[in-house]
Amino acid sequence: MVLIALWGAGCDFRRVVVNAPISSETLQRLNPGEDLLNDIVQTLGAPDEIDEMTKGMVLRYRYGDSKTMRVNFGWIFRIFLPVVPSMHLGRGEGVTHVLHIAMNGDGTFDHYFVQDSPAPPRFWFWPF
Amino acid sequence: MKNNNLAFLISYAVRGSALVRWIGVLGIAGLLMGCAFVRGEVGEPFSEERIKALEKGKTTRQEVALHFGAPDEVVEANGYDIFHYRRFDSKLGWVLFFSRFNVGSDNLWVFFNSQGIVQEVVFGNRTGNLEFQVWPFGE
Repeated sequence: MVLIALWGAGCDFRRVVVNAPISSETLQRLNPGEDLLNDIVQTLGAPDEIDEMTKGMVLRYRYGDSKTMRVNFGWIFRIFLPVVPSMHLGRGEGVTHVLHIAMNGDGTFDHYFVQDSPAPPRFWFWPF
Repeated sequence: MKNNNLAFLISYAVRGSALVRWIGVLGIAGLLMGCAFVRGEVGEPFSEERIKALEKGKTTRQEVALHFGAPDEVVEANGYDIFHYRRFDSKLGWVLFFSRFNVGSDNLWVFFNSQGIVQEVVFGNRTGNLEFQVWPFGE
């Protein structure tokens, strides 16, 4: 019944997920001043980006999540009209989480920083 | 969840009265009509043999380029020249008004010393566990 109701309302839910999130428990396993690049890779996998710092380098891991919802109010008219007019209201929200892993000049792990988004994305159609 | 719905509709269509049977058949048709499963890949998969062929302290920059082609990116960091190779895989599952598009990336980083010899190889496979999913809610 819920499915039929949603279909009848012309709803549409879409989600795009890029890579998998890294849990905070995994990050707790990193040891500053001890872990080398190989240890980091064994724990977190290969980074998406590597950038140079004045001393050492920074590894970046990215995770993206976006949610879009649309409602086609024109579907109401299919009861009366042969052609369904398009009257969409929709909204999309997306976030990217970035994990920075800083490595010292001697190749050991220095620190990490998670750049989080203020709020997780949600499904909602109202664009105003 | 989709499988449960489908099983329920099939059992309804088989066992029920004529009206119920029609509702079941229409439900099944509705579920099967509005669906799509699409896959997109960018770049060739990195086979284990090709990665194992990269020997630290032995393989040269030219040999790496010969095996893997031109890198997608060349980075200089911490005294190393680094070749970066990427591969993307994506899977879209769409049924009626629910869809989920999962994207994963594999990254291969090859570190060279000042003599152009492989010093470190870093590889991560994130496309191996990529799934076709339809349900956009939850994790």
